[in-house]
Amino acid sequence: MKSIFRAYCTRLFRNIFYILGLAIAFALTYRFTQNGSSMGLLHRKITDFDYSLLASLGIPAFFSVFTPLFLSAEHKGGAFRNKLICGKTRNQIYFATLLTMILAMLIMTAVWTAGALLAASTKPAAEVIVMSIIKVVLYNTAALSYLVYIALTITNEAAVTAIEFMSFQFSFFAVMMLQMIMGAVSDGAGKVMAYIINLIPVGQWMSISAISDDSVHISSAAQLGLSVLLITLMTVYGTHAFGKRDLK
Amino acid sequence: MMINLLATGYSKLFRNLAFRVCLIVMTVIPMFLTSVAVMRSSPAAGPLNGIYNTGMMFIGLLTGGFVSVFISQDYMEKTINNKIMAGYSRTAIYLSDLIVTITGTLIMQLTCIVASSLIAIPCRGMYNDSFSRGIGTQLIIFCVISVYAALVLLICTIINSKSYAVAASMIAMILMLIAGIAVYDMVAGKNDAPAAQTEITTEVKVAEKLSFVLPQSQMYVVMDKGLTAKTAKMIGFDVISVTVMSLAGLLIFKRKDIK
Repeated sequence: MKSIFRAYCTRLFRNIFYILGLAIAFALTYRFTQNGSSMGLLHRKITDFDYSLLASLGIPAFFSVFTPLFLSAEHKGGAFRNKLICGKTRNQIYFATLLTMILAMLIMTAVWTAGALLAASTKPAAEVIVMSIIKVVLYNTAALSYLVYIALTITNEAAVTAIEFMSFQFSFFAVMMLQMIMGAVSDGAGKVMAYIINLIPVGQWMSISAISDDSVHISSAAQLGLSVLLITLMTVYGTHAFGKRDLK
Repeated sequence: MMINLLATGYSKLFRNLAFRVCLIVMTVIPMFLTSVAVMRSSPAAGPLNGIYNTGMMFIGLLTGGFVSVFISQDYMEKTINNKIMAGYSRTAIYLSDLIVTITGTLIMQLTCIVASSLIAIPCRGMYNDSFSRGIGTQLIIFCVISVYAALVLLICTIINSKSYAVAASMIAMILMLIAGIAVYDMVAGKNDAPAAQTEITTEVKVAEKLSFVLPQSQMYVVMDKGLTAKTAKMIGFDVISVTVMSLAGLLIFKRKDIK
């Protein structure tokens, strides 16, 4: 698995699209954190760091485009088949791919954190910042495990790009629809809806970024638990589906 | 000759999974939004005029996804190559693709109208806005859809890698959506403010001009103000956009090395 991971990393750090994405992530976070208050987007803003959390949506947005573009190259020219011929197992290929994408996301999160901390003139307590970063990392890992699952199990590269991009856009819409339903149901059902919203990575972003009202908030432990649950489910189902896929 | 291409195009369209998924989306979301509107409004408020156009919020994104996947399939399965070898002209192939994709997106809009009306009319009665307003809105939506389809077809012709073509098409659609909404908001914000507080800056003047040019804001302007003298200009601009983009795409497609 180490050699596949190393090969992926070499490709990743040479990818101009990714390098450009990192630069844009830093610039956007810095600018957004510094000038966010003039935009009047947040109703209950406490510190400048709240605007950085708002800007963190750029990470899943970037990966919804980058993941299919980066992994579609694997479908061409029989790269998967070559790896199997070299003696690698399908699980090794799957986990190396997932780990590479997670590494890419961690680097982008580090860039986002640097931009946020450099630009924010008012910051919350250190434990709040650390907890926010952990949540961002976990819900983005959950989003990536879904993206990798789609990219490795569907062979039509155009369809993969469309599905992954639309998944991001429509998960946004789904979260808003769920919030609308929450307003029309009882408190108990509303709590269940809040958990469903937090199971969706974009929903969790909405919950932690102070853009939504308090109704979608659940405890931090529950948020982390839901992300871990999604990662586990997607990875188990993904390895199973990839194991059965006909590789050409 | 082109009749054969259109016949195969339509047959492929109705079997296309991306198209079917888009139809489902254009049924479910408008139905949901109409149900919410019915629940939130009182029966005395009367018919839900204009609710049948809720699909215009995401028609651009769906057009980007559907058209790019539909066209990419032709390239990946080498159908384009087979059509050329069968003796069809490249102009006929390009135009038939444009017609089929515009029809596909038009069917999506019709699905949205039917889905919303299925809930809105029985619950709140028949729409009572003027016939000319309804027709004018649909006409501008048709023009906007055509601009989107022509743009995506052009992008898919220019970019060889199909996954990049799909990504570029969808990003272009999102940018057009955001630009249209931002421009419309700026103009609407200016109109809502009291006259004494309104300062006509160059920025506002540019936004006003752009609101008649950008497809998404055109839809909002017609929805908001109905048919005005500017509507004809908007339609004219859309026709010119489709013509220019189609000619550019055709020119590129004619010289393209198809393997």
